Amino acid sequence: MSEDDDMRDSKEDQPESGGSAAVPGAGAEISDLAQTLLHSDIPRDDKPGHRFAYPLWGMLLVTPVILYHTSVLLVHNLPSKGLAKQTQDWFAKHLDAKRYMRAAGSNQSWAMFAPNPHRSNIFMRVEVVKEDGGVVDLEHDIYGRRWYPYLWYDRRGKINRRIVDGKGYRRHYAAWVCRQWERQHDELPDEIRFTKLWTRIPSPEELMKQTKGKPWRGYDPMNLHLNEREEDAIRCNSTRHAQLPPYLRSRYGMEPAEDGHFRGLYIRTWVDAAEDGDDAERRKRKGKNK
Amino acid sequence: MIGLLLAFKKDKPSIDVSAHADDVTTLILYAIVLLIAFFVVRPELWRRIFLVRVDPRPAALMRIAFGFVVLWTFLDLAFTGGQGAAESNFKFLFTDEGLWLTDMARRNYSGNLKTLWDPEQGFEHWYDLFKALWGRMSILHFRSDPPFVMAVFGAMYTCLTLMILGVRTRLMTVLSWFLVESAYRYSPIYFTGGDTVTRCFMFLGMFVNWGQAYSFDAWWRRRKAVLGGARTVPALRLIPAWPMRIMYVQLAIIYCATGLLKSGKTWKTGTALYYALNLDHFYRVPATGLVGAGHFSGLLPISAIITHWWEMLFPLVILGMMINCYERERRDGSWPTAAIWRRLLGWLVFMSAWVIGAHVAGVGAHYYLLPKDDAPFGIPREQLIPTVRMAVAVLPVVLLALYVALRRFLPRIFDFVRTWLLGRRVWLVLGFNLHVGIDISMNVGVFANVMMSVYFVWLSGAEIDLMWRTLFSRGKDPEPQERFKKVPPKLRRIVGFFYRHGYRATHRRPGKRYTIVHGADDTSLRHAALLRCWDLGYRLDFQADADSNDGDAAEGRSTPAGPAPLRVIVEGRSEVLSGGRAGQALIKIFPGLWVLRPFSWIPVVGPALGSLALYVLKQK
Repeated sequence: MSEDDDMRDSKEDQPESGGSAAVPGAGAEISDLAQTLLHSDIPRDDKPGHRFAYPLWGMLLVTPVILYHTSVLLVHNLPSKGLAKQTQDWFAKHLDAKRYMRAAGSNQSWAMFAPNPHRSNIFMRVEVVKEDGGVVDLEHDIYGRRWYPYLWYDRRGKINRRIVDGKGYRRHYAAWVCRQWERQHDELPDEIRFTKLWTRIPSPEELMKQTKGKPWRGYDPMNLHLNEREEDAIRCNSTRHAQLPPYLRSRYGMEPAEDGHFRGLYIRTWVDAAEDGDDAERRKRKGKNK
Repeated sequence: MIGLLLAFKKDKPSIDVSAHADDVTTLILYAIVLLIAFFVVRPELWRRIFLVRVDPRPAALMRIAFGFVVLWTFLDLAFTGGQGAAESNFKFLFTDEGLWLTDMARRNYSGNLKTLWDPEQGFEHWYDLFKALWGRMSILHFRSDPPFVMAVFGAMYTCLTLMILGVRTRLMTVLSWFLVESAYRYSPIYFTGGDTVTRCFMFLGMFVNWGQAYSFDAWWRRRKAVLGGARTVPALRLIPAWPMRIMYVQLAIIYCATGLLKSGKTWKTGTALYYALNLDHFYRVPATGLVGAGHFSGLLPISAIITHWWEMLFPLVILGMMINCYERERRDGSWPTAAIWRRLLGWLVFMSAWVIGAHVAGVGAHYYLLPKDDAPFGIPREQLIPTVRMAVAVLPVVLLALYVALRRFLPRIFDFVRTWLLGRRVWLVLGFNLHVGIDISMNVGVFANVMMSVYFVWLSGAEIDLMWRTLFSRGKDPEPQERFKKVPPKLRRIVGFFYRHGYRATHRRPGKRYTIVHGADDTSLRHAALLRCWDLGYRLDFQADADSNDGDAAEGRSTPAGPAPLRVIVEGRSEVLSGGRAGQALIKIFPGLWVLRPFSWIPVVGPALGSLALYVLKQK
């Protein structure tokens, strides 16, 4: 990698040396056209003498875009608390920076293995508690279940880890489990139980001690003490979306459920706002008439 | 800005910064305004950095590599997971038969779409769609039944493939961004770091004119020109540099931020990689013994500390690129010049911004530097702000003096600093090796792959050329070595083996030449010239066939029957290849046709693919 090529622009680029040296043909002379098309260097610059990409008006148009994106990007990546917080707030309020980053799909956070990598292996056991009290482990965690070598990235493993920290996701995850169970067994289970499992990775010093000074012997991850703690239990019949909606029952060819079986969601839209507005208007008019 | 990030490194929510928060905010805004003012005073520098035209090949290679990674990500997402296709991640993550029913996903993740759109009445105004787009909406928030989602994914795969091939590249990139974002925005529960990188660069990709090389678009344009009467093979169109410069900034931010956030004890003591490689969720194979040995041999602690510092200091590579560019153009006299008063004013404005940054760094140190210590580094806490402010403020003056002194009195050390310590060869090669190491030892999704695909954009056109030439070169065999006579006979073979291969790796000669024997008439000649658009390793020679179209050649007239059949002579082989076998030979040396190469050795299939290649190359 030649450092002399850093930020090289069109001006510096040399013509494409084809290396297509003329091979004397068997009696055929090289015509002018053959010389220029087949044997001359291919030019590197489609507009020689034009160093810049745009005319003046184009530059004036592009410059604010570059400035805006770059400054928003830098400020977006400052810590969101402490001294930089107000700067971010200013950018959000006056330059709509947060919405821009979201709209561009560029909102970002780079805390990978930070501030430390985990020192424990964490899993979430997901169990179905049936109406009759029976418990079924759905085997959604990877503890002792992964196939090696681990080649294809396992998104379910990631999600299993995420529901350990992201408590807000558990209700939705449980709702999905309830729906799946209902689909497969045509009945709702009682509840979904989440149990956190974890094993602590021995520190290097502990490893040295355990292996009696021979750390290359390693340790068996399955021999580490498995800690367990029940984290959550979510009931299927009272949680929103934890039952199959009528359209899914029909799609799966199931009998319609009794009324009130599905606990749906109501989202207020502009229609509700408009109706509220109409009601308010009506009340106002009524008041005036009185 | 990086100085500010450093000052905020240990940002903790519990620290009350309200005494200085207003002042610091105002000062940061002033600093930004001053930096803009600097470029108003020196617009030629702005133009030089962002608005020049550059070689399209690095961006084009990035398009191909990056496009493959994105395509792979979504193929992997669609076809893995669960038991059987019915329970695949595709259904689980993106359809109403999975984790989210459509209205729940819309309520939680669609931004203002949930109020702007009503399932029965639609939008209130036509322009509400644009309001929703300026948010987080996805088309899957309208409906997400499996057939619909499958259609969206099908469209996405098609657009990504066409983007990689470079067919209507600009349009396909925009559509790919929209469809990829639609999938990502449905819900974020499965996101990894690699997905965030993908989203950031996919957005920037829409602004890069990366279809101007290694694409069907460029091929069709050049083909039209050559067959339409051009007297030379047209150059590739150079492209605006600014989106690529923003990509540099984006990558530097990713590394710098992730490095600064690694503020924990394990990164300081070097045990971080020991723990990371022992995490059940990530390792490719359980190798606790190997990791233990790696740790106690010192390999992992050193790697962890190097990785941490390499990430934090990565923005230096941009500084290095600017310095190298300045030095090169100063030498050849092409660096933009300005009147002395503008240069002085520019310095004044820049230094004003720097002094503001120095003050903010001082305030940052006051709050975040060793909070439990009354006198960090022996400086009383009340003296921290002026001391750090002064130290940071004089830093550029000291560095500038050092820079000038090195350049003048110690040029070799100066060259070493700018081309090695600050050079891309160190930072990018180290980064590449780091990612390869991560990818081999751990499975963290496509993070390593997507980061490496972005590296292409940091190369220059000349380096891409060199890459192709090296790829197509052959190793030179060393002369028989007398020196091995002193090596014990048992070891002679193994030493010889390593010596020979080391020699071949470092001593290269050009690959075999391929001579194209073309008709001498105008049409044949123009069709033969088209092959130069595909010849990235410069392996072709051309020779007119005196027997074909006699007479026409002398007068330069084309023949109505089309080009004379092309023939190929491969250096070192006596036979002249024609028809499908000629095409088969060209598949080997044209990277654009390498997709056919794994099958081109199969009897019967090979010549058929050769014929297909000749058709694509417009030789039939």
